[in-house]
Amino acid sequence: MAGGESISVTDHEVELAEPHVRKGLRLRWETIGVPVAILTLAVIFGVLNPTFTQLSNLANISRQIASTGLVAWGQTMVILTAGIDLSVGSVAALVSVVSASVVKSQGTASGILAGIGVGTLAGLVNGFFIGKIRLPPFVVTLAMMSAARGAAMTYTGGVPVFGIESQFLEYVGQQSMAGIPVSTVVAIIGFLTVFLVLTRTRFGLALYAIGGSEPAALLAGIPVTRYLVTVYALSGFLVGISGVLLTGRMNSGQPLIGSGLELQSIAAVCIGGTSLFGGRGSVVSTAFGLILVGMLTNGLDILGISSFIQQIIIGVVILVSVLVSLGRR
Amino acid sequence: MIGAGLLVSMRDVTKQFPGVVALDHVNFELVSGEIHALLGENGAGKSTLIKIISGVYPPTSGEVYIRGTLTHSFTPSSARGLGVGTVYQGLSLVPSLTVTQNLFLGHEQASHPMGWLDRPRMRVRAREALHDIGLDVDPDLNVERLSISQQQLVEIAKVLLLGVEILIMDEPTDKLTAREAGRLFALLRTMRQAGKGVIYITHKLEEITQIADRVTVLRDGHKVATVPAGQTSFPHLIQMMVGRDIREVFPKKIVPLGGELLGVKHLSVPGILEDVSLSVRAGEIVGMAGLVGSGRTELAKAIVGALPMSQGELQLFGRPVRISSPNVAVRSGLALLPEDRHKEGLFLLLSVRENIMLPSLRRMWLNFRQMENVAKQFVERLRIRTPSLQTPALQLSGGNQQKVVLSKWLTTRARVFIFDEPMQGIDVGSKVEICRLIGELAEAGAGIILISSELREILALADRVVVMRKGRIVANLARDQATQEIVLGAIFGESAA
Repeated sequence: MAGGESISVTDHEVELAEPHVRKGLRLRWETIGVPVAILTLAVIFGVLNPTFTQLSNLANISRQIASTGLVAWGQTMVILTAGIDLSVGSVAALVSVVSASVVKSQGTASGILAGIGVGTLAGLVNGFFIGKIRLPPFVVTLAMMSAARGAAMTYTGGVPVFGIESQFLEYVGQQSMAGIPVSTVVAIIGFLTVFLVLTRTRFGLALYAIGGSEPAALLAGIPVTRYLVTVYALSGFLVGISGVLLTGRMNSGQPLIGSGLELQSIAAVCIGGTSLFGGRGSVVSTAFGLILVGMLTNGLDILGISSFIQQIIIGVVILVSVLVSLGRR
Repeated sequence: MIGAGLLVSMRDVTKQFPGVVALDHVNFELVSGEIHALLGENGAGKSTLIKIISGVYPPTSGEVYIRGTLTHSFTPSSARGLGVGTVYQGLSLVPSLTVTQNLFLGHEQASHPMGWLDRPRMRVRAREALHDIGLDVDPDLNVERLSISQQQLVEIAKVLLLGVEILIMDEPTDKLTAREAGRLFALLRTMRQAGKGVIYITHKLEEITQIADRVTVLRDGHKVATVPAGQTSFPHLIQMMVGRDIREVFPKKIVPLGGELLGVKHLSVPGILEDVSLSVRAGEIVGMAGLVGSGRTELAKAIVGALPMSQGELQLFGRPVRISSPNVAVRSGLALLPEDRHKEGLFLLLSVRENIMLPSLRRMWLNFRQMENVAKQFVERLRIRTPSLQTPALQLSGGNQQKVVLSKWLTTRARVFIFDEPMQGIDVGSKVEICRLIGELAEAGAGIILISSELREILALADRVVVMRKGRIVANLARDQATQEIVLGAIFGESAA
């Protein structure tokens, strides 16, 4: 690092007189498609069955998607770098059993910290092999997906951890504040944080750059390795929070939860329109993707349509939305 | 109604894109046995013209005759059916397939009734095709293991293999060394003798006098003129192209040199660079010549820490430094403008503003207004033509993209700049401006290493010329010693200094 002092690299002092270049409000189908679909679905479901639009049901939807949401925010950041995190579901299970058993033995605060810590650690391990050793994200997180699930099963002998008795966890997982489920509030805070990170920080911009062209990012002096490690650790951190919420919701540590979470989170990212090739997308669109899937599942449930058929419909939605978002290229 | 020798005839052709008229009532003819050069700045309409002939898209109005037939269906396959073969700029090879597989991609030879591929025959024909173009590589080698210039030759061989009557090439020599370009020209002359027609897009004016029969100059979608190549001059061509008089394409201002900014001492990278020592002083432009693969690009990367060096040391501003990564280089005041602009220099999906500001961002939170202002200053100062600061870099022309890359490094307040092929694939107008900017940097006391395959650029701009061959520096010449003959001799190793 010697020699760095010899030239000072400072931010530029510039007068702030000129107005911004005006951003035109461009309403293209790729941008408004998912929100329009959400509104349309809401109207259709509402007409078919008025219970759908009741506040209690909407709160219910938001609770259902909250834990997936936290995972999907992290997944968005990872996918923006042209990576992928397949391990989120298994890591959530590991988080759940670890936090549940630590809550039992050491109390709520330690349990929550241990859970989030385990999630972050798993993410760090992913990030180390991806950023530092340069293994493909798909392979590394696939390995973690298997290992974390195995660890969760080994840790508990395959049976759930019951008897947590933590009022706080129960409150976070099941209760509401001012009519809004606490887990939803947590997910919204997570969303806002990730949104700010992606749109307002150097780190966020660098994620787009890395996903757009890693060699260019490297030559531009972006600490690519460090940022890749960080982004997987962040994903693990969010999975940690999500795993704790799930534990609270089920009042137990479940080694089998979270299977399918990787697919749900990736689906939300895709449906929103973020490119799986990296460099293009946003967490806002992921939120829309998530809401669309959540509403669809809930609405079809209320209409009594079997979950088997729901899966077919969601498959179609993924395809259609990716087709629509291709329109922008 | 169409003359027998006319291979292509475009009459009153207009092509409109949303918001732009790319070609405006253009007439163009290619006769048999002719090499017809197409000249113009980026955005002048050259690519649009060849894409219409190649069937990439139809004209908005006007008529196109190809070998006497009025064309109605504009698709690449119908153009190919009429004998049109096109070598586009940028490589379209599959890196993980072999040379043979690439050459026959899409029209594999399957003689066997079961549809098995006839590998031996394809290999033989591939070898012939490579021989014709003077490329000596194993056809079973994967394309990714070839150098960029070899890949470019494979690309050309691939089109020639189809047996074309009309060959269209978009800057084919851009990635070739002088020797390889010479072979390509010989091949084009053979085609000319066989009565075929070649449309040749280039930014290198020398090439026009070397091989072209006629030149058509386009500017802003209009045809300026078609002139016989033998009856024109560089100043005339440039004037037609840019619409203004450029007295000298590469002006050079001699500035007094200051102390040493960058010192490279005994730098080695096993198998790539051997004991390279180099010094750059304030205000100095060091031109670096050499063949593609001679270690020029690798030296640049080793200096900025993108390639680990096994031995040697660097001195920056008189102090020994250790540049362990490009990140450290950026912070230390070193800037590399890489050779491959699209892959390594730019973030194509990010906006002009973000491209310009990325390397100089030091604070965690982004200040958009400040970014906007700084970026705007550079867009104005470098005359970057862009619809807005929010436009993705993808949408700019080559010259303007290069200026964005340059701005990006100017914002970091670097003092040592390494330009790796900065004028590759950009139009003459932008070249002049990039030259001016390089000159201004030197005048302001920066130290510059200018890597280029265009000897003219180096001889015109450099205060000192360094020649690399096989990973070593084989000549280090002062401006007044560096003649074209001496430098060429050193490049090819015929008489090393």
